[in-house]
Amino acid sequence: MSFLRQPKPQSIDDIRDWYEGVVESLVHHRAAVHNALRIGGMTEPRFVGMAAGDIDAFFVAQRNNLDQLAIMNLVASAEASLLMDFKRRVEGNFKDRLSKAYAMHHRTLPLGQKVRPPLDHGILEQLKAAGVVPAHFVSRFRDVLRLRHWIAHGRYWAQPLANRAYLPDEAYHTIATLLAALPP
Amino acid sequence: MSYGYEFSKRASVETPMTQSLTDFFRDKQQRSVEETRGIDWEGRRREWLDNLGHLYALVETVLAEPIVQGTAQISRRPRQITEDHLGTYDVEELILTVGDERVTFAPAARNVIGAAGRVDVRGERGEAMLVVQPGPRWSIVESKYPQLRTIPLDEATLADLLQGVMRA
Repeated sequence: MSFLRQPKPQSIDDIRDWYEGVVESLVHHRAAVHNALRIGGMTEPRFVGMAAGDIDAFFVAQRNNLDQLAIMNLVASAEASLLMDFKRRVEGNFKDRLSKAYAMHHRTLPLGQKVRPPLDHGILEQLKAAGVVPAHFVSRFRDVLRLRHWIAHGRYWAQPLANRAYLPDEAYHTIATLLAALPP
Repeated sequence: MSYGYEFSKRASVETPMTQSLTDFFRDKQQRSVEETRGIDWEGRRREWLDNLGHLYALVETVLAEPIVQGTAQISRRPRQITEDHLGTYDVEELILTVGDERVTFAPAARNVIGAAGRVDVRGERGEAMLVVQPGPRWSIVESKYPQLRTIPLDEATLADLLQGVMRA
């Protein structure tokens, strides 16, 4: 297998580092554009004609999009971790409660789903039913999973968790808490 | 990790722990004054209002015939703009009415990036942006990507602009 075809799992910490770097870039860019407005300098053509409020609105929108993409990436990383953990337990034939539950569930899956079992109505169901992690860890992860689906599938239905600001910070902690709670 | 918080925190200039907030604000204020020292804000505002007057005069000239014939009406609506350094000042929006359709020439701001003022033209089918470029002269912003393209505003381009933002 060539290097290009190797799996490249991205950890939630990798994503956090990327996110913080881009946030820093946005902050610097916003400051540079405001500076250009203040002292009359020139900047990228997209900003021509923008007043202070327009510049702020532009960067708020950029930040919101970045936040949502970061959340999507964080959840995608968590999905990969949960799937790899599922596979490890099933293939390892471990005897702990979660591994047994996963193995039993794996046997019920149709052939096509054995390689990539469903997450929400599969792995997460088993994880919750096994009682090895607090149930609210799973339900909080399901909340952010719904947000990830909304972002990844084009946001064409009402936004989940729209009644409050859901930031990457919260997604990171929700995911980190769930992953850390998984039994060895 | 504290993302939402970090954004605003990082946007600010880091202060030495020993510097009091009062000193920090005083320095900021002083720097702001120094940066913009020598800028005749009152003159800029006056020039901006003059340019608005020239724009509206051009529109009225171009539309003189339809106005006389009664196929188009022009009215003005007062509003206020508030900008840093310029304060709050009065401007007028120019409203062109043709039948049941309106096109509004709405001054946005004097202090904008890369120009000496902006007016948004809003019709029922589209919008356009006019900016004051060195000269001073009014230009239509045709596109910003990948490069800025503007065309001078004159009778012909204004007619094209109006047809572009109005219903077909």
